Amino acid sequence: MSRTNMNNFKALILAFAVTSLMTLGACSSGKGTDTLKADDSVGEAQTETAQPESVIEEDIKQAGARDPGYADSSSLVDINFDFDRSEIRDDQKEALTRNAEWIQNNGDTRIQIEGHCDERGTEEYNLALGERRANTVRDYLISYGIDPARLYTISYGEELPINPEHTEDAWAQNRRSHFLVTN
Amino acid sequence: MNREMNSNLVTRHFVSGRFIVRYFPVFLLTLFSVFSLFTEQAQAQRTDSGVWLGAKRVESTLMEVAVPDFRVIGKDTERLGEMSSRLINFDLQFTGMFKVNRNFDFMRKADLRDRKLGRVNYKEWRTLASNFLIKGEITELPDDRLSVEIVAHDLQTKKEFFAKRLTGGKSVVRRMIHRFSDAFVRRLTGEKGVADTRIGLVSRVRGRKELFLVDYDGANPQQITDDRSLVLFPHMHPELNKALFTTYRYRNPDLYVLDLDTNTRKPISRKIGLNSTGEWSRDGSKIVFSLSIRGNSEIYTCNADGSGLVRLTNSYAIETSPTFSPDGKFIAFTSDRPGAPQIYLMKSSGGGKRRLTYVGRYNDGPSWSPRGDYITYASLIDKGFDIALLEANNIEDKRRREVRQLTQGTGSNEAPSFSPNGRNVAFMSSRGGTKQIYIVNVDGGNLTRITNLPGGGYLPSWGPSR
Repeated sequence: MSRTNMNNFKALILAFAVTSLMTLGACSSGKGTDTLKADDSVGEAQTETAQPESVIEEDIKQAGARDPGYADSSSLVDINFDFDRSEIRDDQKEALTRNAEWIQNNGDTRIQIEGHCDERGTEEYNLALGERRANTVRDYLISYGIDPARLYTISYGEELPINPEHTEDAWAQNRRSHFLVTN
Repeated sequence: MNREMNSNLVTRHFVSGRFIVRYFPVFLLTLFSVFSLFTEQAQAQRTDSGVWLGAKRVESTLMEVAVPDFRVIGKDTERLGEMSSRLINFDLQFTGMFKVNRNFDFMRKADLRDRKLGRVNYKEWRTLASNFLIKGEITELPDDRLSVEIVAHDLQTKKEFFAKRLTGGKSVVRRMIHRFSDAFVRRLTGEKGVADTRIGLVSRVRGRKELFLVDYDGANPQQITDDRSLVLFPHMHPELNKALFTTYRYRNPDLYVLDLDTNTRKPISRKIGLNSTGEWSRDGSKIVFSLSIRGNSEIYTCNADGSGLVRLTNSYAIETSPTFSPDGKFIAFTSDRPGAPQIYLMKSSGGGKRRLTYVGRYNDGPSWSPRGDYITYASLIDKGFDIALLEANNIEDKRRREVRQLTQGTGSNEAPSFSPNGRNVAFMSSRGGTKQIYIVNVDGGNLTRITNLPGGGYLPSWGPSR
């Protein structure tokens, strides 16, 4: 755990905290009505925690996506997407251009561009879709004139919703590209 | 736990039988019942979306079995006697070949009468089950281990048919019972059971998804990773005690292999971008996975150690979720080149790409049966996802494939994974409120929720027999 810097995961932790609360809340709801449920003894729960692994590959030289020191910047806003799409929506172009200006004017920063999806769809496909969203944004910023070496992408698929509700509004918020800044 | 098992678990056969000859008709009947299910479906309903609904199981061909509570020599403070008989019932019923008797009170009395009598009163047991009586005895050994002796009586011939003695620590008593179930079924049908298998999955711990292992019936959940970031897409090695998975621990979704005996990990692919949805070939020599270098997710293969990277797809579309055919000659994968994700096929060299699924507007997560007869995947047919089975025999033959539905519209059902004998599928479902892992027979029977983990159950991968 030597490499874990909690600060880097601020946004992440927040999202996880919300989702875990939701999960706990939802847990009490109902048992299944499955064929073999009559056997109460089957499926007893005893959680054992395994030892942390003893060998960890530590060969991380790439800058950017794996550097510590990321933070949210209030100047950079999320860019939202349509369901199952990764093109920049017309109504998002102004916001993205403002983000691009800020990034241009803060030349000492590196930017992590995250791609996120709503909970609909499969985890496999959503991870790739989030990657595509992040890269569409990255391409836009490059075409704006930003040095590609300052931009790193990462997809979290549907894993880190900012709104954990199951509504159209929540889904629309969760389909986003989020920006993190590092110096 | 595993090490304790290997050193302490001793099995011994002490009765042999002329079972194949005697039970050949039953064996044939069982085979026939599997086929008859499919013919029955052919006459059954077809939904508007063009998918066959699963059929009801044929009860009449099931073998009847009675399993009274095991006799425990000594104090049975943990109710092992009751647990053992229920576990055998679970195992046997889940094969889809048995009908178990649940009249436990009556069986307890019949067992007591047998003990007074000093022999098995076959006539009485025949009133409870027509094929088998399984009795067990658990003895605590001086070194604190347990000896479990189980005898299966053939109620037709009124003779002992199969017996096994297993010895092990108290923590592996469930495994000893599962081992008996597998051995008994194998003796009867020649086929390898799944009672002594485990399923890999991810579940949340303090909000973070980690790799877990559970027994195939959901018992003994064990947290494996402690990456405290995000672990996704576990895939169990077809033979060895290893798991492939994607972890964000090193600030990028990287593909790792974890040796579950030693708890050591090695990187397979860690390029900036996605390194995900990895699966082994059946012989364990190759890994197929999705990788995005600068942008778009494509399918690659490599050797088991990560060397020899070969790119198999090259398109503007998303390609992900690859799975090898059991002979290693083909790969099924997901591509969204038609506008939404659909299942495609290619040779494992990358040639001959063609679309396999035309039913369902969003299909992903294929898993190829080790028997080769089906590809299962999550299919958006009506509102939520359902588990679909695409007929996959002679896949090089380009005819349109029939699709069956294993689940029908209760919650979202995703991420199916075949059991090692190809008779069952594990998947995740939200039908109970939270996402948890379920198992089901390929004929749609014995649908059972196996986990009720506080952190949910996601992305199951069915591992091999231990």
